[in-house]
Amino acid sequence: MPKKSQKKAPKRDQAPSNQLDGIVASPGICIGKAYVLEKSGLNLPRYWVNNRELPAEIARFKKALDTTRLELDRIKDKLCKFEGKEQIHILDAYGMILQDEMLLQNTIQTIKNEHINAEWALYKNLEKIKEVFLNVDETYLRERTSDFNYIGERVIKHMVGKDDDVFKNIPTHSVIVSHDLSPAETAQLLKFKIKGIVTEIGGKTSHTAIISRALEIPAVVGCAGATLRIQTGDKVIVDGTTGHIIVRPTEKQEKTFTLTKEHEDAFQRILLKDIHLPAETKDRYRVRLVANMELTEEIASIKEHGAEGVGLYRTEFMFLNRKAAPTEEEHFENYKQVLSSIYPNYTTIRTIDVGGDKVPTGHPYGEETNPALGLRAIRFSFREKAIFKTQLRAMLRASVFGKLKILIPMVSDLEELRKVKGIIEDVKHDLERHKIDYDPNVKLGIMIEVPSSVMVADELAREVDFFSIGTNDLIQYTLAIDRSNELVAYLYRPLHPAVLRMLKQAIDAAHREQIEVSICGEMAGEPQFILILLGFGLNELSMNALSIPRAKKIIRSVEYSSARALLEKTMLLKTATEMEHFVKKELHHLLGNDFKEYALYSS
Amino acid sequence: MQNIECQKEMTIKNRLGLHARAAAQLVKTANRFTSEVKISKDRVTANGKSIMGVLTLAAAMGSTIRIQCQGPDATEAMSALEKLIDAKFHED
Repeated sequence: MPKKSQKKAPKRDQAPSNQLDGIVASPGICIGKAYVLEKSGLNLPRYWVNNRELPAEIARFKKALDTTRLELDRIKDKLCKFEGKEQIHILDAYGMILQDEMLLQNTIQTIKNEHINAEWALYKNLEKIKEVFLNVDETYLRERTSDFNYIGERVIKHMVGKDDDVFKNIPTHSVIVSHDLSPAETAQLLKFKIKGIVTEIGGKTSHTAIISRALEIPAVVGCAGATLRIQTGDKVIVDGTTGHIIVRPTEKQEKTFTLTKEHEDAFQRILLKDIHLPAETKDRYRVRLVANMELTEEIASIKEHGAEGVGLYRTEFMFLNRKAAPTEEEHFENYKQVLSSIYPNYTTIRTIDVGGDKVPTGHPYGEETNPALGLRAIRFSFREKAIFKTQLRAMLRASVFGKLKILIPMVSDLEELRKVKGIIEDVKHDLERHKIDYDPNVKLGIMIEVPSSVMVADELAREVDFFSIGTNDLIQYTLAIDRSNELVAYLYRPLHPAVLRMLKQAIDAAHREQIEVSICGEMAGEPQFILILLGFGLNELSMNALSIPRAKKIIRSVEYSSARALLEKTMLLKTATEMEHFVKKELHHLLGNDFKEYALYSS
Repeated sequence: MQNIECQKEMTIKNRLGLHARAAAQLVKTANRFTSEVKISKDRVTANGKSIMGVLTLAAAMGSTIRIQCQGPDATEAMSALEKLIDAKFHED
């Protein structure tokens, strides 16, 4: 099989010279003409201005500074209502920079002396300042260059005007090659029906990766030097399953591509055939397969892959890559759209889970020495209560447009749960006082992802409507390993006796109190774990929408009783290695030849 | 009108250094006075009333800056700036 032979030859010295490697971000393979985007997302116009044009150019610059300042003032006013003190201070500083004589005079001097346009002159001056910062031997200050980028982009945007669209010349069906793509840019690219994406930076969880997965566009990120090695017009093959990019492929490479593509398409067709059927075992045990989502762009894909609702809508992406927290209206519009599109199914919205590895821009709390154990998730929300309440209020307001479940991340004990409930009550009372409707049947659930919550799961189960087990964090905290630390990453083993016992304790507690329980970690979507999880008798498995057809096929091909037996036997084993071997052997037995195919396409 | 000159060396103590927000506070304080305020670090001197100037110093935590005030209210300006830096810009 072509795919296998490619996988077997990843050694650098054997790779063809026209091959680049990156991080797999979205599976699938495609071929197309490259379109290389300018390094900065904003196209910086550069041209000369003659003596006669100088006064107009300077006036244009001054006007853009004023417009930007007024714009920031407006944002600041809006923010004041939501007590974002930290953001207001930073906007204050930006306002001062925009009025600063030095920036003004230096830029005007550059325009005059070098006879260049205002955008270019401003860019040059900001670059000079950034350089000073980049030489500082201190990470925090060095990262503050983003402040200047922000200001520069805003001002330049006002000068360039909105209709100067960087994307207007992209031919449809291109493969986009870029240093990086912002969420807005990625979303804008959609209308060109692009075939694939290659970026130089970013990881598996970057926006580009998430959007491409949602839209089923093959993507490779973190591919260093891509914008240098690839030129607009080059024919490229992007293999989002292996992370390989072939620039100007040979005839033989194109042939290999065609074979791989055909094989992939055939397998996808088989999987998609059954998406309208329920996820039901041969002996009629039914489990709901629902989707994890981050962005509204994913809704179409969620429906196409047969998801029976949304099991986890991560809202933190609304907070990232921006200076100020979203307003209540922004939250509301977003949730309303999701809830009404997913209706009549449930949408489970998780409140903000920032901190840890996901730090919003302008996070006022600086670097933590131990972020995974620090100010994150519900702890962050307790501290930034205004942000939390704004989000809850918007959720409740949107609840009348669909079926809402609210999910609280990282609750570790009953005290925290009760505190959350108190805050929700406050928000509800406030809505009632203002005669604003909300659905009184909104369900409240908590993430089970901290070992302490498992230990007291029986108490928690009595006071919530559902549990959602976040296996990624639960495994990390149970086994005390940081998955992003490559020295210990090998210890991350979902099939570990301690992990399975944790899961069992939490699930048993939920069953005893007759509340619903689901799993929403990566584990839920991976073929090698689905039967084990099925054996636990969960109500719901929540996964990346793309994984749903495969999971459904696996579930429909087995008996619930054999999944139960598999789990019971596995739990008698004493070590992770024994468990892994046993499960693998049993899966071969239960799924037969299909298992190989599943494993090949497992993410 | 009296013309007073004073100068002082100080250490930046807040963890984040003179980033945009701290610089903004410093500049705001300096602008409350008529005296001229100059701030230097190493061999670079900046106008203490210009945020871009202060930012250009790129003073991280632990770096030493020299403040010079000159004018009728130089003493008051100096003491206000000193207070602000000692209070770590009210942020830690």
